[in-house]
Amino acid sequence: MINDDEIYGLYQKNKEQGFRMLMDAYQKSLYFFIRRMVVVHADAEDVMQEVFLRVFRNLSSFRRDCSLKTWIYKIATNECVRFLHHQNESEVPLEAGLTSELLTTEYVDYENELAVNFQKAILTLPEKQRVVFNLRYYDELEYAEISRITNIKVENLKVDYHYAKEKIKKYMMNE
Amino acid sequence: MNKMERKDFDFIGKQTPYQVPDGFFQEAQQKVMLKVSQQRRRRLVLKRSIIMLSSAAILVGLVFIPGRTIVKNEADKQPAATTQQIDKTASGADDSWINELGDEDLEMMASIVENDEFLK
Repeated sequence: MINDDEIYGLYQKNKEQGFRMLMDAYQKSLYFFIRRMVVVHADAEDVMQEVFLRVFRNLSSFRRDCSLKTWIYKIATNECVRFLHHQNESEVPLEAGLTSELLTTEYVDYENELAVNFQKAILTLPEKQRVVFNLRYYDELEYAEISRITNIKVENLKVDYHYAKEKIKKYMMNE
Repeated sequence: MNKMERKDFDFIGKQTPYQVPDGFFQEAQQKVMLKVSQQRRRRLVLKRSIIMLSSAAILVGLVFIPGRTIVKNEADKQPAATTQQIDKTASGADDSWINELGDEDLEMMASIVENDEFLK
């Protein structure tokens, strides 16, 4: 696993090579985080591209007051929320729109019904709980890191995560 | 993540139904790197153009300021100092403000510079 210091070290010597190393380290996990948020592959690709461009533009001025991962995920979370709000100008509720996209979009393994249903359950969550659940469950971030990303207090995050889990369990039991 | 949390969804773990096309990550990285180098090139062109413009403006100012002809004798006494000042201003132009500009401003300025026949 590449660490932040290695990325910084290379970035100081050669910006583009350092940035490449950063992408190697974070690209996959970041893509799947974004994908779980926006559902459609092409949208996830666009959002991920925008996130990396923002990271590149601001990397020199990043103060290192948190880990690179936290900082990148904060940019990604903001970008996902911005994208979803911009896209959701119709009267259809955001969660319903995403669920219908999950059932019709490309690059989804529909044979894995359990996994599809689990994602459907996650998509029923309100946006804030969905962000918290994805960051905690899939990306295994600490509550303190999620707190920096979302600007929500750790205590409230724990409550959000608990409610998210209960809703998902309930949904899965009814399926 | 503690054991209790992990246990909640043991039946599914971390699997998701989301897939990507073959070679997607490599291709996506190339697209990002292409955009990054385009942006860097644009910034460089913009920076150079602004330095050239400011140098030209200073020169024009020095040539056409009417006050200079009136006090010609005084100016003649210190010609070297004036030239040095011009050189200093031209080479040491403070362009740090470019870094503080927003992306939209930079994009706009870059397109102005690129479309200006006199700056090409």
